[in-house]
Amino acid sequence: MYHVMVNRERVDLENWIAQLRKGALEFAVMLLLQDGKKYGLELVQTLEKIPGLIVTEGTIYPLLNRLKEEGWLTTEWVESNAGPPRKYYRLTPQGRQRLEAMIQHWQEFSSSLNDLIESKVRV
Amino acid sequence: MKAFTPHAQKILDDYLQRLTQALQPLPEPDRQEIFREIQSHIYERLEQNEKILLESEDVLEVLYRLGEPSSYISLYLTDAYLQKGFERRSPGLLLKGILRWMGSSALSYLYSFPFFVLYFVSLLLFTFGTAKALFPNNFGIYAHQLTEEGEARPTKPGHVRFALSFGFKFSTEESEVSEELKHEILGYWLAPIGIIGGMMLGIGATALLRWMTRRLLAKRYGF
Repeated sequence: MYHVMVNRERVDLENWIAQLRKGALEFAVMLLLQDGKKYGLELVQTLEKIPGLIVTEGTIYPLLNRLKEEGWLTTEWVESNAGPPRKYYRLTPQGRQRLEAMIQHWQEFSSSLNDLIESKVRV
Repeated sequence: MKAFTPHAQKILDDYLQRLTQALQPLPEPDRQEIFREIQSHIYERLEQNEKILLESEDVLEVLYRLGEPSSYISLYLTDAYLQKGFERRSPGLLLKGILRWMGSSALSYLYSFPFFVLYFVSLLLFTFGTAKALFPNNFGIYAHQLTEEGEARPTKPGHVRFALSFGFKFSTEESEVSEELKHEILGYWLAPIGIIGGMMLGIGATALLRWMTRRLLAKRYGF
């Protein structure tokens, strides 16, 4: 009985993390593109260092494609001396504008949540 | 350039084959572009391995981290259908998108079924209205009384049990149609009510579908 409950709690926690990841991955990708163009694998290898952010690498590509369709990214194929050409992604001016708004919102959001955590911890 | 053991080569070829298959439903230029991008990802990952001869487990590790093509390619499909359907207000694309959502889960069928019914009814109404407008004396919806023997006869006021039917008469001679016309439902009003009602129902269903799509998209991607 006990281990059943523990399992359910863990599944519940994983669901919550998955929900967080959905929005965070998009945010993280746009943050990484702030200082210039990057290709898919390059993004993946940086994002891998953030625990829990990437589960299957393949999902980054549909996400990048969607951001492109929304007009926030542009793409270009660049020949690589290390093998096949790479598809690079770059922020558009609209994408940069949106990212700035996202950063501002995130900072307010996370600092409010942190305040909440700290006040609860003190009590 | 790396070399592969025969088994490793087969694993890689099979994966690319599954990728090609998963890409089938997408339009041609997208298909090629996505294939090239994924292929380039696999190639570079394999290049990062220091070994010269790559074995099955080296290839499997890269492919495992990338995920099964069917799982991530379906995200392109859902996005493409839902996004384009939303912009163009196209019920067909929206329904396709919902069916693709979560890889055609039972839930997506549950969500889309009421819309198939709504569109069917709106199409039926519209067709009836148009038929009445084009052939006012030949087409109509009629009420029939159901008799004990199960025989259908035109209903009279006061009767409770009746059945509906629609019909088309090729003869417009007064004597043949007059009795049926007495019990016709809506009469000439069928034309405007059918056409306008059918259109309104179709527009309403599409608005509802778009509202639901927006909720689905929000659920998938954002806070």
